[in-house]
Amino acid sequence: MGQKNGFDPNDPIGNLRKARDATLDAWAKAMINLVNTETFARWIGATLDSYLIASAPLQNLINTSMKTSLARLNLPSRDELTTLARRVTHIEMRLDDIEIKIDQLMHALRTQTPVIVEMLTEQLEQNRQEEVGLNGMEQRLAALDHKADQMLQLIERLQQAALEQAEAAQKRRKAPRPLQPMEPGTPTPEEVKEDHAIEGF
Amino acid sequence: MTTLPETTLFPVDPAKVVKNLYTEVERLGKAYEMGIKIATGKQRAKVAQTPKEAIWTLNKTTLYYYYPQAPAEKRKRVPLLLVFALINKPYIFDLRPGNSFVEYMVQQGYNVYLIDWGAPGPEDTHLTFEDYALEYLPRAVRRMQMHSGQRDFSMLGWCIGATLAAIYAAMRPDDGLRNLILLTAPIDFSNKEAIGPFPKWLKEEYFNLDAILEQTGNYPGEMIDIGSKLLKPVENLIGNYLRLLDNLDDPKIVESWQAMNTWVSDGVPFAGAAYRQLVVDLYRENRLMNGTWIMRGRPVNLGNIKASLLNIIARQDHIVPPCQSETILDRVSSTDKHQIIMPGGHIGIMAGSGARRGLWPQIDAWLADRSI
Repeated sequence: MGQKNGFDPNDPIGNLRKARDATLDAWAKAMINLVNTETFARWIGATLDSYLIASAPLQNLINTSMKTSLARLNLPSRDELTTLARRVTHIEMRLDDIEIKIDQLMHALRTQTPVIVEMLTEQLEQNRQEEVGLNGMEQRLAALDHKADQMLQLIERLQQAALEQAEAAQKRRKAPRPLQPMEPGTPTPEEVKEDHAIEGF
Repeated sequence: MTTLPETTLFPVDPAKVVKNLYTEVERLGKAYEMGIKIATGKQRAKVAQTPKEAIWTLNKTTLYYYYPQAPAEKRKRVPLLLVFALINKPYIFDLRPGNSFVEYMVQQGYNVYLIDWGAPGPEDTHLTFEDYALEYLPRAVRRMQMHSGQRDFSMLGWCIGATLAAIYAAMRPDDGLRNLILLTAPIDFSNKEAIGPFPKWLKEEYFNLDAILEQTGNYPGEMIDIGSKLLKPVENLIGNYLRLLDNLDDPKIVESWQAMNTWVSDGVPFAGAAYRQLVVDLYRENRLMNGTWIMRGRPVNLGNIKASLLNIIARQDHIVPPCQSETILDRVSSTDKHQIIMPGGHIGIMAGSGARRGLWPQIDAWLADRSI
């Protein structure tokens, strides 16, 4: 009631506030446009340059006198402290690397310990079984002896089979060709093939 | 005979005028009391109140871990690392109780970690984006992984923190980064007109970068503050204080204003070498987007980013306008990528009073499924 465009005749303070806000809004928009111009950019750059030019001599003076004073007092300069701080950071980084490696090792130990213990136990048990006096060694030799026997038997059987095959082939031929003598012990290509096939036994 | 409406003839009701004036005087009384408290420092904003522990430090950088508040069965497996900009302090993530993103996420069951870059000193003038993204950040991640016992992690970067997060994600895609959230990320500096005044101010012919850094070492926080405020001079230098004056009788608004003002005024210097990169490599030469920014001997290729990506843009952002953030979606290799455009400004979308009902639940909804 009695309000038009937000204007309330019964609220003078409120109206003043609204008028103020409207004015500020207009200024805000104008200023946003202003700061977005090349002129403003140039102005702000020039202002900054002036500040630097004005403050540089004073800052140099302070730096020089401070350096001299610190040297007279036998205290480290700002540059020296800066260098020292950088070195401390490098050391910190190396410590960080070492710390993380220790953490990783600890973690691995914690999680892998049962596996490691199991492996060690198995190995110990195996060693124990194999090293029961000289019996273990004898058993292993006996096993090797047995394997060698098996291999010899196999070779004999193969040689026998090769001879039988050669005889059968000869019988099948109409005009028997003179027997090609073979070097004793030289395996035929078939034998070589078979040998390869049984190498794993 | 025509009759005019009564309101036009007698628009002013003296009783109402007196009542309004009385209300105003009463308000001024309360405002005066509060104004004195603020002026004398008796009324201070309590910021960064969520319980936390510093679990790692390196130089000025600290990694914080926030104590979980959700029951064990509600907790998410994948931890969340928050990375803020090199400008101002990261407690904007944890501004004040009831208005804290950290508090909200901790309550939702996330293991929240936060990197505080600290304030660079004279010994840190040489620090570059490379140092932050590829030296400090990976170390912090490594520590977080050890602490949480999880290799997978999510990272949320805000403002230049998002730029750092993007560099990290591009250069170390196999470190376990599963989810990447970029919040108002300045990535693309190609559209100089749309970005606003910064590219103009930072032009080589106007802005004497070498002279400034030679004299100051690091770029002073006060200069950054003034620069940001000059983007909207009337609002920031006048309107902001008038808003406080108008609401001095409302403790809730005063508390909120003070918290935000404390943060805005709590600037830190920008490491000199990194600031040079910000001006030259990013604002002037747009190297990150062009793929010509060389770090550790190889270009930062945004195409290497393969983590799930949530890109958040503030529609009214005058510091990082939408055009600076939206184009990253076309560059990354992530197959799972989403974009949210929220109404609000650069800080307001995340730290404003509406964030609890606006952006935060959206971040939670996106992240929750990807944090199992």
